[in-house]
Amino acid sequence: MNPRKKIPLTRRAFMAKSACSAMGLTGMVNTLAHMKLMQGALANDSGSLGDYKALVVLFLFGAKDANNFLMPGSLHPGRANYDAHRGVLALPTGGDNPTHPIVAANLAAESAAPVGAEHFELHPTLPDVKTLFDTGDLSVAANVGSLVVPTKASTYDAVALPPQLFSHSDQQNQWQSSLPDKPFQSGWCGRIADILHPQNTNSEISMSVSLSGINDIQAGLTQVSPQYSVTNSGAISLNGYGTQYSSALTNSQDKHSYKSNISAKRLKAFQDIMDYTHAHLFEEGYTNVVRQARENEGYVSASLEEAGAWLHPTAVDSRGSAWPYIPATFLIQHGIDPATVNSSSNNALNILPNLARQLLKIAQLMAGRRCLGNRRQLFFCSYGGHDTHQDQGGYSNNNGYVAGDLDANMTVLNHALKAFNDCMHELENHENGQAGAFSYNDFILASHSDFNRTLTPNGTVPGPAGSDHAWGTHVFTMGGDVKGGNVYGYYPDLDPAGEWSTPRSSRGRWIPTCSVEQFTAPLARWMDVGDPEIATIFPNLDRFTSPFGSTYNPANYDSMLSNPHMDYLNGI
Amino acid sequence: MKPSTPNSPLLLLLAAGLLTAVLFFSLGPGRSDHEGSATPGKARDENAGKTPASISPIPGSHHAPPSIEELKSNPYALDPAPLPLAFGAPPFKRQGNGTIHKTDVMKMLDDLNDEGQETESDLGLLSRAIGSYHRIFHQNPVAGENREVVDALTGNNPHRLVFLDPGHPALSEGNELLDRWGTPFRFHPISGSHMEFSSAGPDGAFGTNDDITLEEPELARESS
Repeated sequence: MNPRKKIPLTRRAFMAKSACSAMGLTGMVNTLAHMKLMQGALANDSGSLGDYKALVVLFLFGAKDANNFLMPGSLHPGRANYDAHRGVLALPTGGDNPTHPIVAANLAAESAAPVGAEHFELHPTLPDVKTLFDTGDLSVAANVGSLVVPTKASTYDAVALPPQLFSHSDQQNQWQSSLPDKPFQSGWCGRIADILHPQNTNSEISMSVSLSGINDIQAGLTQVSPQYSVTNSGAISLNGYGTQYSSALTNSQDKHSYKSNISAKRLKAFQDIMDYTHAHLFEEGYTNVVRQARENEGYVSASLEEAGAWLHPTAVDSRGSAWPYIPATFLIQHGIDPATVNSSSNNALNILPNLARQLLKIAQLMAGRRCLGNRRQLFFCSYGGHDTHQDQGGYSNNNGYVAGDLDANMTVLNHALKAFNDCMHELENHENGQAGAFSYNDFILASHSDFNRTLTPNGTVPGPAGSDHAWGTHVFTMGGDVKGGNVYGYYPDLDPAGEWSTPRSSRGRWIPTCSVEQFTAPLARWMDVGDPEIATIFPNLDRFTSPFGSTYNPANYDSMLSNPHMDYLNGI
Repeated sequence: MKPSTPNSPLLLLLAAGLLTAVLFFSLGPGRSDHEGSATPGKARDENAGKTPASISPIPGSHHAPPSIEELKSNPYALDPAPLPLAFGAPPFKRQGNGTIHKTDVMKMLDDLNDEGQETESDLGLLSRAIGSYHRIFHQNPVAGENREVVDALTGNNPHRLVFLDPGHPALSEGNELLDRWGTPFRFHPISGSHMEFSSAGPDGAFGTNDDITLEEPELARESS
């Protein structure tokens, strides 16, 4: 045995040793933390998915015009400002116009709110969302946005603002990280996955599933639960072997059931190569990725097969055949009579808008969750095209109502949300009585968007006119544990020159009264993230008033900032 | 006889002290005006409304994350550090009011809305002006509106650099930059380094077929 030589400590060696020891120490601390979490998770593991919870984040890219998503009702004190400043984008209230009034529960009862403060209207194309609100399945959080520190008009010029306020990509990034004052490293859902991953003790694939490609929000600080992307058609398969390998395999679930044709031989050869063990780390790493992808594909396919058992119990197409993988509610909500369409023609999924297809796939993965083995799941989906600088749609006395891009977008949103919500109820009914049955309370869908748009229009002709980039926006949550039928946070007074608006602008850009982390921290707690870990996931949260148990107090602007009124979830 | 040396350390200390003093007075911040280098201590136009309690010597030049106290009192705390520049020579020209003219960009923008040019050329000039701003401040103007871009280009920035003459004929009374048909240009911030520039065209209305948009401003910036 060679005695260890004493090597003089050079500067280079010192740095290398220091870095390694630092990394080792960090890794050890992380490992200890994860082991502690895993111990707790193992202690609670009953061997079933009885306490399943899924969080769905829907990002409305491009900045949805929240000022016309949620409008002040005819009795609301902000209505006069809305009518005075919204110009051709203003939608008339009540009467014979297709608006949808909603009344936020409890606002007037909770405090001395101004008369009518609880009266709102949703965009005319959101009748089903109105129903979801009225039945208590959906709530709205008003005036949420990225903030570095609490900010109001009087301090706007004195405090640090989120970098590149009003730029799309920066604000999208800051919503997803909830850390506007730091260079991007991870998303808040990714950090939740870092913490919760050990609870998924029987996990077959990552708990972070994206229906919208690689994203920022699911990027974690560790690689324990890397985001896994599927398309709205399912797992991404190897190309050239037919749908679900039908050209090469007799049974798509058995990867060794090769047919006797060229495709099968090619697939077998590829499979054999991937099964080799390599001495070279890079080669081994590459084949591991491919092997893992094939395994994930199998799990996802199995999950979708399981989901297929209940998703179309009543949907029959024009030939009398069952619709494959499309529940009737998704078709009906999109104005499609399942009995009039031949489901075998082309790709039947293409008859649905992209957002609906994403939410449908999420519903299917929830239904087939037993195959995936995750007790906690984080889904990400998105819907773009909301950057309505022009052709937004509007109203004038001379021209009447001119539908535009916002109408089209809200219509898609309305149908997709209703279909997804119906699906969640159907899944609960289908599993009723089973062990570890799905409950409607097991999911929450939360929306995000870059920012709001300016209250004032950028034109005078309804049709071409649109709105520009602003700040605090209104987002919504849907699910059984959502205290629905209410508007949380504080709805701005809609005065472009008032204390809610950024100084030196006449466009109506609301300074958020609720930060992103004040809105999202309750979602983390709902996922059963403990308070110490919430402080880790949202390190800036302590700069703001805690959202937990916060009340509605509109006595004055400062009282609103100290009472964010974000107590919008049950059981947290 | 060997000379005594008890005063040697004292002399060394004295010499080190003198050297430190010389270095301090020759390189310290108090000399920067005379050297013609950046003087960002008084960063933005006083009329801009920003009244921070304290400002970093160079805004955003942080090696460590700013403290919560700094975030609450310094509006520049998260800005990237601007390029350190020597303002004593062209293309910079100091003005009596404390601003510094970026003469090459100002001269370039003299051609904005020139009758001999096309609108595409105007958008290219704006792109190059924003590109020049970006190269110095490492980010585009933080702006959601036309007048906020104008504000930044006319001196409301950390170096008080003027890229656009505040008396430019294309500026409206409301301090918006107008296209050759009198409609404000549209500045569309995609990111901190990517901005789209649009003119509503002859009909003065956005959303119509004669709109003109510069789709690749970053390429134009590279060529400036």
